[in-house]
Amino acid sequence: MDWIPVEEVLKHLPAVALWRARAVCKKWKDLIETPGFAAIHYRQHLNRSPPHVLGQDLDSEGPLFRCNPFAGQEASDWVLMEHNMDRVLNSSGGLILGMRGKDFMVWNPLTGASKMLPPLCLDGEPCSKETAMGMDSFGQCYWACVLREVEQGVMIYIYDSGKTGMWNKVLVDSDTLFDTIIRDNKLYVYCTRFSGDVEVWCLNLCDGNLSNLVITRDHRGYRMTDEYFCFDTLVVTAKSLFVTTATESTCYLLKLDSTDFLALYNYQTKTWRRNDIQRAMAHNGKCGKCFIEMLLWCCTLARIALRSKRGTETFKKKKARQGYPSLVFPSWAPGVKTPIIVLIFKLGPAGKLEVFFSREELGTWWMQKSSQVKSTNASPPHTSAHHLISTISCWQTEASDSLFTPNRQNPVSEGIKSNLLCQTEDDEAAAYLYNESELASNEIRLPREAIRMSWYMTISINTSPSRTGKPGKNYRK
Amino acid sequence: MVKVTLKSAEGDVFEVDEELALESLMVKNMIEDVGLDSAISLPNVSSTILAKVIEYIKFHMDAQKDGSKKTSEEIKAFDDDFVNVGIPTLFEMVLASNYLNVKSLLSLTCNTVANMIKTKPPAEVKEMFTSAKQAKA
Repeated sequence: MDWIPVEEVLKHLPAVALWRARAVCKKWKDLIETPGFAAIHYRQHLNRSPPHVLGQDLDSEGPLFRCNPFAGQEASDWVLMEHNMDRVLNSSGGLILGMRGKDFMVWNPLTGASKMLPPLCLDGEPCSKETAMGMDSFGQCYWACVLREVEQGVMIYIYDSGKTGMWNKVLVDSDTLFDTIIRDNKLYVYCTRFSGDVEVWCLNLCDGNLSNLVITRDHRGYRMTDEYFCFDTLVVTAKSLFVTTATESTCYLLKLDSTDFLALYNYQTKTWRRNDIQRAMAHNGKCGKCFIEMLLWCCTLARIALRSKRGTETFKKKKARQGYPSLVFPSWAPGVKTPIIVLIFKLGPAGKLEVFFSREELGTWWMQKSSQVKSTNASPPHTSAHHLISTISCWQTEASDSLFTPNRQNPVSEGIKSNLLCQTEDDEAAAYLYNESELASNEIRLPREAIRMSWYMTISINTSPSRTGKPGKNYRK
Repeated sequence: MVKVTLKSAEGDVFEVDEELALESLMVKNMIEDVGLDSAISLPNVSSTILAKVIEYIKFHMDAQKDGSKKTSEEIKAFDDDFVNVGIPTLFEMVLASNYLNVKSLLSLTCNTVANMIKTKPPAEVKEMFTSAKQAKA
């Protein structure tokens, strides 16, 4: 069957179908299981294939279900996932980092392949905020990181799938860890000092270079004090939910301060931006009652870090008590570098979706016209979304997505699309596709089995079947 | 406008604009090697398929020109219609676009094949590829 360019055909297959195609013949199987092909497949599907949603009843740590709500008419039911993980911690590029017993493992939910990582002896189990996972820009290897606070500072354990072996250790000198992400092959570690200073450490995962980006405090009256951070639990106080991110040269810290307004800090220019969003939101009123999602995003697939069980429970209690917006901590798959766009999804009463965005170079906030969250199926009687659970993924579509691209020098941006996961008033789950250019959000009601799940984790699991290990080695079907 | 002469497997001659011919990286390399004086022989591509490939490139070149009024829906409709052919023809187009090295057409045709096989059980996929090969031979 080598008379046709098989690789060209197979790279277009969605991951699940690709994995099934191994049974066609030996040559296909060999090709599909090659790490090089997995990388090609990953790059082909990054930002193009509809993401899957993973759901789990977190209260009972029950079984995991997978669903592919955005695949059009192929939209599947919840598929029960067979896995042997005890806990799910983090994900990137279609792979999931979890634990079995005291050992860490990486699992590919679309193919079922898994790999145990070398043993790492820790006191107690880390929560998801103490882990990071990242795929390299070419889809060829991934890093799994575990961070622990120790007496001398914060210890970072790094596993690199491209190298044989063991966990590497790096110690950074700080007091309290509050967030960490991997982007563009770098690990960003956000720490606070007991003094209230914020530090960002940047570890280049390719060459091991460690740099301390900033130490900051008290600019224009916004003090990083314990009014904003609750040191003992790693959970920020309800008065100040925040999201962090970083680009090559700039770091951002976003928070909702005690008056429900958003502030954004640019470490490089040492300036806060705050007012514009305040005004934009104030025009629409009811800030405190609405649910807000924030997404910092760099022209690529956004991945939402999982909330730990502990974090979720604390969070739910707080939400119930305070009526504060829900917020998730976003992170990224590697991708093309473009200016950062900050998006805030706000779900108002009666399913009215408002989207705010700011582009880095403009420095002002804009509000999209609000759009009604629409139902695509007329029956049964339907209540619209009232609670935004999370953003599953977010990406920018470009004209260059069309097939005829070789001559196009300047791809024209066609707009932002985002997959949102919401809960309806009758506690069902619904997925929405927000499309900037059409100013519309179409609802895809998830299958009813979802009712059983009291809480969701969303991971955009996407592609790349065989990256959990080189075939034949550490490999299990 | 400089013209390039392409000769199909059957020996039919197609005269096309140089700009259009350069979309095929394979033809582009040939022109760089042997120049424009002689006809470029394409023994692996039949006349029918070569005509289709030229039609495809022409449409997309026009659609990309400044002032083109074609919407992305129209372009998509063209692409959908273009690959709405029998399996033997589709496979021939995959082969031709691979041989001629026209990336966008290769991507379009391979994506179409992938859509056909993604819901099929492996045995049927094997059957489909085998019979397509026999039809070609």
